Amino acid sequence: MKAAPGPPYHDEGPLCRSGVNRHRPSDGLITDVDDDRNVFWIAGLAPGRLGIQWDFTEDRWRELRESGGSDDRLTIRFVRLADLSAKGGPGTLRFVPGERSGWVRLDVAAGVYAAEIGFLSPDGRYRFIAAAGPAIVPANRESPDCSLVVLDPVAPPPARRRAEASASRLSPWRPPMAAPPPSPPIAGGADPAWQPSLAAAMEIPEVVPHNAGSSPQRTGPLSDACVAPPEAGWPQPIATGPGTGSEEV
Amino acid sequence: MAIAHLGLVLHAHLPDVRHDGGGGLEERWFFEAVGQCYLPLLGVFERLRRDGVRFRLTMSLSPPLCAMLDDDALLRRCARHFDALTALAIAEAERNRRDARIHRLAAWWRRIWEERRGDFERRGRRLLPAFRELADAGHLELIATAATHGHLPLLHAMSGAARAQIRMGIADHVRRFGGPPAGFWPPELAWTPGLEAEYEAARVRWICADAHAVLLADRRPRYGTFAPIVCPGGLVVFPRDAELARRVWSARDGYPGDPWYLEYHRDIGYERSPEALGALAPPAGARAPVGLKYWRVTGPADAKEVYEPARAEETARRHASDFVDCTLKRGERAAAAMERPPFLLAAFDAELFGHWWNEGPLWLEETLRRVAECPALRLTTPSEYLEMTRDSALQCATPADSSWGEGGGHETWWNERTADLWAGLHRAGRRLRRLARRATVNVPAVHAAVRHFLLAQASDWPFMIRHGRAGEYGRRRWSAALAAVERCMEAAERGDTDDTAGPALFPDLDLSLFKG
Repeated sequence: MKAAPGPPYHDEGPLCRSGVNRHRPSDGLITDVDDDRNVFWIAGLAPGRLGIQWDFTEDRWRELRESGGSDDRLTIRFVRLADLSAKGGPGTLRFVPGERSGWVRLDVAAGVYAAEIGFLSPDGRYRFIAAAGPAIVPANRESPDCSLVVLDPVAPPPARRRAEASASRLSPWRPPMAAPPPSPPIAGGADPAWQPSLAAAMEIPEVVPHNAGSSPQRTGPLSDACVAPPEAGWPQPIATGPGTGSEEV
Repeated sequence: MAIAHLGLVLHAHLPDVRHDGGGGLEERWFFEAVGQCYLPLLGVFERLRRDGVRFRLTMSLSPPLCAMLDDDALLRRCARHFDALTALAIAEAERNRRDARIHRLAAWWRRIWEERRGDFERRGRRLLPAFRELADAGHLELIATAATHGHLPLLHAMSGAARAQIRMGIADHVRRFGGPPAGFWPPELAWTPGLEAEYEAARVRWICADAHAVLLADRRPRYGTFAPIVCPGGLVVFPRDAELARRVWSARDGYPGDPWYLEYHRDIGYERSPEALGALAPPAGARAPVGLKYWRVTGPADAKEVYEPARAEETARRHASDFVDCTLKRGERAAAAMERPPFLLAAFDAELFGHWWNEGPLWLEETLRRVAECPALRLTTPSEYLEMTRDSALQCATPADSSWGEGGGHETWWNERTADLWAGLHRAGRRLRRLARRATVNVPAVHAAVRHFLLAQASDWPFMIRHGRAGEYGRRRWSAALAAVERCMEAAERGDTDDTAGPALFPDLDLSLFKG
């Protein structure tokens, strides 16, 4: 339930461009922002980990339960936006405790995610409640992109006169000028095979290990997930419950 | 000529622990920070200045801390606390006459607190002017931080909340210190892609981040953490040096764990009867540290040896020397492979120095003196470094989602225990946004609601809840702040003018920031 942040995102997919950043009531991928009382949101938690939270009011929860079948299960569907083609892409369903509020962590591959919460019926129908995203999950390893792009951040302003100085010793920052073309003195930028020379000197921080108990299960590709209304059918999870193994999305 | 640059950044912050009428046990956090950290740090800086030592640090003072440092009633209570500590040290010296070692230590504490009490009064109980003067003299570069220490990546998911934290933090800085800051300290060093647009729009030139924010950036950093990177929009990000951080900060093998240093956790507040603690006795049934300690770290076991100040000072000097040697070696090694001088950022909470690590101020003073004497190493602020290297372009990359919390992400603040807190913030934020957009509502009440809302966003509350340290207090403060938001919003909708004062923070509130 958040406004889509601005650029830059390097792996925005069509869902992000067409679904999350623009209101599309037909598939419900935009949250009802006028709803003050019900909460559904996602955010990156740590390298390789996504957090998802929902919290409905008693009234809303009762209404949701009563409007569906007793066998319907509360389900979160989340998609990695970079995996979506124009007609759809992989998505993952995860059953969550059927309670009116909850918080789950999911181990996922690095990327940008959107998620929605709803009820999955035994016949495969997905009753949408709310959507949230995009959220960024950072990688837990160095980027494979060794390309070198340089930028003159800003011509630093002159030091302030003593009489003016009180807090920062510098005058107000000026907005950056248009980035000049790559220039020295950083060398070796043109070489795509370039590797950082100081990697060995750095300590890579320990990252959160994958948690088998909270890992999501992969599902098959979503057919027309981006463009079709929920009635088009949603994928079935291939496994449910804990202890079915750990797997990245 | 300097081979490498060392940037020392201290972040000073405490949550707003003021309570009407005083007496809250948590106000002691503020008293302890003033007596154990801020006064000793000012003493260090002023001694160095007097001795003509060239030094230059960066420091951020959070708006809630500044508000408390400007609160007359709180400062009066702080002075009374110092009086009580001095009296307790005198009583302790008397009580321990038969144990020469403890008697000497109690007398040592008495002298320390008498000096600090005197220092506090000589300054008219005002510390902020001293920081300003050091900034004017060129020894400190003061930078801004978020309005109420909100966790910006998680608040970024709430429309406009991170923007308001950044903008109001900067506005408070300008109001207090008179000039726009070049740099910004992100609370918890927390970052998420997308925040750069907020910083850039607020004209922030640079921020600090943890090492892995840069190491795991979307383009591999050519110089690791030895040089800043620049986001595509122009925001410069200085990564923390992991090795320097480890040497000072690590609970397992950092300097503060040395056997000769004062053991923080053994405090007479846990050992003496309430009668013996006098005015510092906590409420019935509670136990709390008072700041008088007699034991050294010794080792991991519970059995502790008596503290020896002279040996601790000697150790602090040795650690300062080690830190400078380590910085120099890392800088020299990096410089050999770089076309620009390496910059090593050492960033810490200011409260580490003197509170958690009693010898921290001495270590810092010795470190600054040694760096000043080392021609190959130069103490530089990030702003200075950017100015010095203005002819060099920086590598362009976007840092990775990160913080300096456990696991490197945001789970310390958003987890099973704190989820309801975030749901409450989302709800209040949405309702407040709609209210702020309505021109007819009672504006003072909306302002009060906004102030309470900002207080509820402090990263301190979920941190306390997560770690169980003062968790009940954190939850109570957060609940009270959100309840006050609701109360003020209802008052605004009814048109009431009562009960709309709100906390004494941010007198120049810009309501437009909360309209989403």
